[in-house]
Amino acid sequence: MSWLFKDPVLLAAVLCTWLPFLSMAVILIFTRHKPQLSSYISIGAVSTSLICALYLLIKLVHVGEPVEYRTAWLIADDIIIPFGYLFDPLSLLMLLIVAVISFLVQVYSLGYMAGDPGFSRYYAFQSLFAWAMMDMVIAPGMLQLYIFWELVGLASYLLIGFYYEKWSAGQAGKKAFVMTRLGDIGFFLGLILLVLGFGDLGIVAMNEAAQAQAIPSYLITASALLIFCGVIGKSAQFPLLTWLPDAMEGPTPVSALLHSATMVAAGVYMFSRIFPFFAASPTAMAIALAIGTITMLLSSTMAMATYDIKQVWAYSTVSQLGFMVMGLAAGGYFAGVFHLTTHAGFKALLFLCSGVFIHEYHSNDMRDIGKGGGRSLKIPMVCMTVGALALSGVFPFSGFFSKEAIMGVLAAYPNKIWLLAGLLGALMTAYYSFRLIFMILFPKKVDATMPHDAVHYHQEKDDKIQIDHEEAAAGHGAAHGHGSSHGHEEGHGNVFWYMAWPLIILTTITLVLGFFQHSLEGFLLGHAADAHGGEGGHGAGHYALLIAAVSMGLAGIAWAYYEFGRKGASQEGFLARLPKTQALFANRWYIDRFLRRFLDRAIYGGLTNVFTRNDRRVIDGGIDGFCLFTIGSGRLFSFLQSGMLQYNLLVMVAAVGLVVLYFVV
Amino acid sequence: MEQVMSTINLSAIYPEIILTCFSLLILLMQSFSTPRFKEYYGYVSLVGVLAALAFVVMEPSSFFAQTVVYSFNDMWVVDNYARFFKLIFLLGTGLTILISMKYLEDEAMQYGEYFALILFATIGMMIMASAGELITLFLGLELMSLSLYVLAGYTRVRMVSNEAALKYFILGSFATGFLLYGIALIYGSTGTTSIRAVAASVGKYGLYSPGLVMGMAMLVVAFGFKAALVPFHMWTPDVYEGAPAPITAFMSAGPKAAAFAAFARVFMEGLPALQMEWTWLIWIMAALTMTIGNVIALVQDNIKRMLAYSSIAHAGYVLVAFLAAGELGISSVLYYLLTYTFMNIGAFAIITALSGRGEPRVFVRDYQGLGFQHPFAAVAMSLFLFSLAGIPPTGGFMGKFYIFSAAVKEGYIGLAVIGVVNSVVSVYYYLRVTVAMYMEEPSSVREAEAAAPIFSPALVIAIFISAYGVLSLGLFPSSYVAIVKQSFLALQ
Amino acid sequence: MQLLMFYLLGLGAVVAALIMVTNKRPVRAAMSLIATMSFLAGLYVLLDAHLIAALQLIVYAGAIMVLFLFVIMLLNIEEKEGRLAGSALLWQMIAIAVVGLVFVLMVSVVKLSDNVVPLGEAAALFGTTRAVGKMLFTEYLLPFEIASVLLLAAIVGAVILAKRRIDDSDQ
Repeated sequence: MSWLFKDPVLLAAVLCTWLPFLSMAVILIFTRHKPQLSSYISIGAVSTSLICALYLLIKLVHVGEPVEYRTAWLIADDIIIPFGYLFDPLSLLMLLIVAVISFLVQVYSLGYMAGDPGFSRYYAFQSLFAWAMMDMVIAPGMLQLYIFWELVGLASYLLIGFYYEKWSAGQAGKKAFVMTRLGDIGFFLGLILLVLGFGDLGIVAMNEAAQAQAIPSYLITASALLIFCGVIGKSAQFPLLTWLPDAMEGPTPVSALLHSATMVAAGVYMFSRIFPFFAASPTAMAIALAIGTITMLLSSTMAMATYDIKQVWAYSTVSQLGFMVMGLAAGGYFAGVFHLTTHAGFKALLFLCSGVFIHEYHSNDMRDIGKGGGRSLKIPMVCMTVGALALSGVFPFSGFFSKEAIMGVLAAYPNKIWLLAGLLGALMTAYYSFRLIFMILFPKKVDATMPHDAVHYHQEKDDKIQIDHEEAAAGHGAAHGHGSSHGHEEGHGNVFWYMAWPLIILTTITLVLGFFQHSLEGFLLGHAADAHGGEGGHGAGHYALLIAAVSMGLAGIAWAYYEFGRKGASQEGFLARLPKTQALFANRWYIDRFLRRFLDRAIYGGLTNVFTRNDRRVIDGGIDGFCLFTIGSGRLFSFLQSGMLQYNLLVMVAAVGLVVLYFVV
Repeated sequence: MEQVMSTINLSAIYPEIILTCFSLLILLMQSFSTPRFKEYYGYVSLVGVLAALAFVVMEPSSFFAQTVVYSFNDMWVVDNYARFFKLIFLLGTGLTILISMKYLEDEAMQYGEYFALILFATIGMMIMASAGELITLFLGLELMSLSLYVLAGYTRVRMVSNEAALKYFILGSFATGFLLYGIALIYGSTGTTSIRAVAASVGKYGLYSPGLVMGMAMLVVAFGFKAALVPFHMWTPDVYEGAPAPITAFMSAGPKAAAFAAFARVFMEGLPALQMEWTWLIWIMAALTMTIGNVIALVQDNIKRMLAYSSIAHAGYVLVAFLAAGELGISSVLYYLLTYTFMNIGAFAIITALSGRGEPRVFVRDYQGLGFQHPFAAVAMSLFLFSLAGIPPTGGFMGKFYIFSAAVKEGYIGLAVIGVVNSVVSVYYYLRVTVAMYMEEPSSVREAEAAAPIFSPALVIAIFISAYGVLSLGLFPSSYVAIVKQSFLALQ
Repeated sequence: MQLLMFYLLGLGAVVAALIMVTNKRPVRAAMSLIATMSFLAGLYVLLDAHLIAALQLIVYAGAIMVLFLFVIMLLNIEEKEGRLAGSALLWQMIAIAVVGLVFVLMVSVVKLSDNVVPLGEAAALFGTTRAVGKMLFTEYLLPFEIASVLLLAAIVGAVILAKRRIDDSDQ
């Protein structure tokens, strides 16, 4: 083990990535029945990871070349499968993002999940996720990336279906798993194709070879498109985008961590990880750009039609992911990654704020929250507004800078239609986010004295979980009074502050992150800046664009204000007057239904039928026959195998005779 | 590779000397100290094993120095090959001692001689691994076998145990006779018993001396008996079933590996020129061993008997790698034997814990519902069974992977196919236990009368060590492979 | 002369061995075993292995056979009468055939071989007590020591298996 301690960087890397695994093992094996201890172990592990990630970033920030540690994990003669760490600006940044958000979410969950019967299990899964995600981020080769990619998917499945006693949660977990797997099949095929055609799955090697045009272009295009299927699945791009809103069945902190900030961004991360490789194929880039755009627009429209607070953010996540893919596919490496970074911050913030409301009012419906007096929760309300402003791209919040960067890239693209789409997206984004804000802030009938009924009315249709929450609240002895619409913050003690601190930290990040754009750009592009030169250059010549983008955002807000915010507003929105369109949006453009039809007809009706028959007749029959045969012969042999000593000896001597005969003849 | 030559180099046999001293110490303690110290005999022997382990690695020079030391007129070889095998033996012995302690107390067996005999057997195995000469080899094999005969019959009150010991003894004596006869024939046709001198003589005087060939045949028989290869496997099921469970664990790991160690040394180092002669014989034996072992294991209900047949099958896998005698082949033999030690002793540790006094609960039906009553034991047992079946991410999978890739590389594709089919068949009977543990309800009567399993701390430690070994061999194979490769280099 | 002696002694050993396995009285069987051992000792003398011949007489014909006789007399084993069952007879026939075939095979192989390795002349003192002793304590020191451990293990094992009660020593 001494090799480990010789190099502090390696030590930090190992600690960073494997402590969460250790904590998962410890929780699952030892402390399952000690929830408090489990959470401390998990948080301890992830905070150490955070420190290590920070250390790595500081230590390696000026290292020009990527630092790589790899050891041969499996040696089988000529096949060597490496396993290790790759540190370059991108992976360091992503590692830090994952560590920070995991840490904050785990702290937040202390409050949110308090008293849940599966508290230990929850933290074990959180650790599992942190471990898998971090090891995925620093993977030096695509195979390791793929393995942990799948493990991340597993963690997502487990956490979505966390309330497994709830049928819809189980279903949603399954749906998420199956849909992402659908994309992963493509991903895996792409990898196989690459191994066969190119022979090396090292990320650095792939990128360099692609840049040096050492790989035939048809191979790049084919494998890049297949690998992009993985992005489609994991980052919920069109047409596999519907699993993400359903994934909101999981606990809200989980949605914040996995289904907005980090896990779903894994697809985008992978895209940027092998960005030079993708960039070597214009065809693949064009298709990615189209898919990103479609995703962004479609999901923005869906977000306008729902009243479920988490659904809004979920659709918004999908659309922002699409936006990132657009940025990347248009050639803006930095822009895409930058937006990923800022988005991770403010979207986690938005989810965590919503979590406070949901925790407080036991409803996901924004109308109920508004009626229940959501505005009285001051910290979450302010934080959420900040997050929404960032999401809409308003100066000086972080979203503004990153959106501008992507817009700049789109503007530089010859075909301006993408830019228009981007601007339209910005308008819709601002509209739906402030629709939500205004609905909570200025509920239709402001009646602070009787939120009781509303809350309890909605409780009826809810189930066990929330009862658990109430018990939890009671257990903590905090004055949790559902009825009192004032003085929440004072009375909640620890539980509230566990949830509040992460919000404040994330808000701060959202406020200041944008101003680090240039240092971040220098860090990420580094020596490669000349290669991507001029990127994000919306500087001097693009004031018009700047104004256009910001005014789109402001227009969206104003529009929302007109329909939802101002006094006497109908709070129904323009969609209510267009029922057909609303139905279309609310039903997610019938993508689900289409997929279901498609599956029923093509897969279940056709393929599965054939395969089932084949299974029953050929395989089962064959195996049964084989089993009968082997068991039969086993009986025969064991009959021959009698325990009689003389007989044994005789057989032995006869065998000796045969052996001698063999040698002689 | 540096070679250190000297007539007598005592440091080359330090591990053996230490073990002998410790076994004598235990015998003396048994005779002279009060009975209340009897619990400590196990720990004393464990200390001996650990000390021997340290000396195996460090003396006469470090393992990684890659030296080969000859001593006692070439009768004694200490190379990394021998040392790796000694590590396996000592590991098996240590684990066996750990799982034996509580068992002895429960079965009211005698302590002192038990551990002394285990140490004697271990010394015998170590001699087999290091012997550079056939007489020494023979003595080592006899020392091991004699101790095992007695250990197999250690629970004298049980008829099956007596029967096992007697059968093992009589059949084993025959094997010994064949071994001696083989040695005599080889001596007669080469004029020497030193393995290296035999190689030189064979190289010098050509190959086709029928006496030599016949001697070789006799050696195949003898080693085949000790390693339980078909058709010399007949003793295995009865003996494994009758012997006390910890001893079965011991027998299935160390002695089998020792037989392979000696087998490989004699045939690779002494008779490599005759390789063409025995290739097909080994081919047939490997195919038969795998197939018959697995097929009979399918219908066994007694779990000890099932594992006996499975151990026959595993010897067959090892034989496949043995045949593919390239670098990959021999390293995969070493790798597999190490894995096998962990997984088999681990499985027997759990059988020991569950069998109950007098071992009435050794049937598959006794494992029904174990997953709910004793999750720890069930998880560990499943892990070991998965590893035996060769399911990733366990060491068993990696071991099989290396073996079959070695076989394919050396052109034994047919054999590799037979091996893979066999491991598929084997999944059936391993999983049968797992299914019983997790998917079947215990019948209420049995549950009522079932004695609680005995998990002493030492046993749990043994299970943990085995589980760690199985998992780390499966998850991080490359570091082990590096060591194994170094050990193989010695046998050139 | 030597050849004649070899055949005589060999024939004697085989006949005595046959008598031993076919005789139904244990004492007689044991006595014929002594005869077999003695004939074998004669064969060793022919091979210049004087010490081995002496040891053969002392250990086998002397000590071990005395032990046998003691056991037989103490246990008072009755003469076993009775015919062999049919199937057992069949097995016996098969066994004799198989073993005989293997034997013939092995002998013929060795006989047909022309020993290609020239054996050196035996040393003047070959086979004497002195020569064997010297070999044992110099060249074969290690096997000698191992043999001592082996004997110890055998004694311990015998004590274990023969002891009257299981937990004698602990009380």
